[in-house]
Amino acid sequence: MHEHAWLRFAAFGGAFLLATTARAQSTGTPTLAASDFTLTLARADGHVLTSDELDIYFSRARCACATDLTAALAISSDAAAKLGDSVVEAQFMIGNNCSSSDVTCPTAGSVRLSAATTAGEASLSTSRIFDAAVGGDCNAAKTSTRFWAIVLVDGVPPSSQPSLLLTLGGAGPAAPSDVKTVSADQGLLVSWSSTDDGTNLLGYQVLCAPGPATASAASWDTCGVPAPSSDGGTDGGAGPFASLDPQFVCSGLVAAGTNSTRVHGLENGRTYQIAVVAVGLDGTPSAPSPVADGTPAPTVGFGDLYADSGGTATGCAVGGGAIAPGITLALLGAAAPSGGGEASKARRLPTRSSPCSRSSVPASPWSRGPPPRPSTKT
Amino acid sequence: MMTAPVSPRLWNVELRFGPYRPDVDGEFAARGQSARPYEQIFSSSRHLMMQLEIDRQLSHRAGTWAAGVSLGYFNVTAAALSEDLQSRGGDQTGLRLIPLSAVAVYRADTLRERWGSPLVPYVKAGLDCTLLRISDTSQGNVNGRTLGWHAAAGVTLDLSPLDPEAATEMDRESGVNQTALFFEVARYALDGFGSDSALHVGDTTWFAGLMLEL
Repeated sequence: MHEHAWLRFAAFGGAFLLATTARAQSTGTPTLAASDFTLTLARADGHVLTSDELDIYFSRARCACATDLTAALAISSDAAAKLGDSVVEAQFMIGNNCSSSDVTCPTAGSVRLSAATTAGEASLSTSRIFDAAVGGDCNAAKTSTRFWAIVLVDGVPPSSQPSLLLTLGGAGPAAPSDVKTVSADQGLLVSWSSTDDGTNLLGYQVLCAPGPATASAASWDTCGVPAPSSDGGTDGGAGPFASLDPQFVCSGLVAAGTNSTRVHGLENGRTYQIAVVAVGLDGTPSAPSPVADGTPAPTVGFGDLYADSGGTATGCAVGGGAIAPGITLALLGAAAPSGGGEASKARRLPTRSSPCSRSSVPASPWSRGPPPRPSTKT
Repeated sequence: MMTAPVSPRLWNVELRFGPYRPDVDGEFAARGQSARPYEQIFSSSRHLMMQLEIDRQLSHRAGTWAAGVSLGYFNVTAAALSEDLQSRGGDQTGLRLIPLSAVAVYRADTLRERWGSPLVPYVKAGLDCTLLRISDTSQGNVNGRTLGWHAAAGVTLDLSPLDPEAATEMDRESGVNQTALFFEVARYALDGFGSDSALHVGDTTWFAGLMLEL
């Protein structure tokens, strides 16, 4: 008896399958699945967000600072070849389980595909996603949702629906730590540690308080959302950098993977508070790192020490003309500032043109340095 | 006996490496001063000098006579000193040398040709112009040059005996007559021929490397 029951069940299932197939064949509707479609979200500049980027793109700043997106659905060429006269209608939806027939999800546009039109796009905004997922609350806790293309082929849903996993309201990159400063001439050498491997970072920027005379451009964008705090809350950072005020930015963007930089444009003898901010790929800043103090001071390089020790070289030992103009830009004793563009210290080699490019060679500025310091004697 | 080369012998190409310490402090020692600015900044350690030399063989009478040019590279950097000259500051300072040389070479390779000796002694002498750059992140770079001369003596070790057939094949296919390792001792007198106004960047050191005869 038990065996007969299974046979009846199998017969019933087979009959149902045959009937479904016959219906599909009679209406010419192809059997498709999610794998026959490609669903993407692209930024306004056309860049298609990868799965890694979808994990960080929808930050709190992106919620407050809505940006345009383009949702695109494309059908594979093999699937398009099966379509014949069938029409694919897709509704973009936002939610966790929009493929279920008993769940109603917020919509975000639609596209219509056919054998002749194998791809379609719809425009939306990042705010639409936050509205649908967290009611537009940009300070909501980190959560995730899915972006769906609910497809109907001649009114019949495929066996599965394409979707993308989105992470919303991430706290941004981890704050750098272990900030150290070393005095440099009219600047500081700043180093830090980071737990981020750099793959999701645009880079780092250094903050100085008091701010430099000319602040560098901030590479982050908080869009009015309070600066993140180290504990992941929403009450801002710590110390003078709580608001991530761009006036404190005193370095350019330091590339991800680099954990030190030399800050220029500071005042010797003045104590500065220093912090470092990590900037995510989407421009989301981390909380400021713990603050470290640093005081710029003059340093003594090799050229300085040579001159101060009484070195007599001018570099024009034999002959007068520069042997390779453009390479031998200036001979010994002629400083050519670069990089920081800071004025040389008074005791430094004065800036002037190459002595070897002149008919009369002036005395070596190295030999005109101050008397040797007792402490240079070994 | 060695397998005779099958292609003309015209060029020698050498790539060599060795420890180097510019004798900047020598001028102070010569004046009886105790200052050692190079050592104080960069330490007394030697750093890598690498050179590429190309010689054109001119004669094979009683050995090989050649003339050539070489290009080298040496770079040393360190953190600049703080004003107290004791601790290190946040600026970087460095000295870079690019030695350019015109060189005459004699190789006693009759030993190799007549008796199959894998060891061939040689001597070199040349004139040098060393381009240099003193860098400092606080104020930029200073460029200069120092003229001088150098002399070297060394010995090459022919690698052909390790695999004569491969050596012959390489000569036939690519024109490489000889592949050899070499070791030499060199004296670089880079002081503007004794001038007080030149930065002294010479040294007495050794080099080792690979030589190809083409």
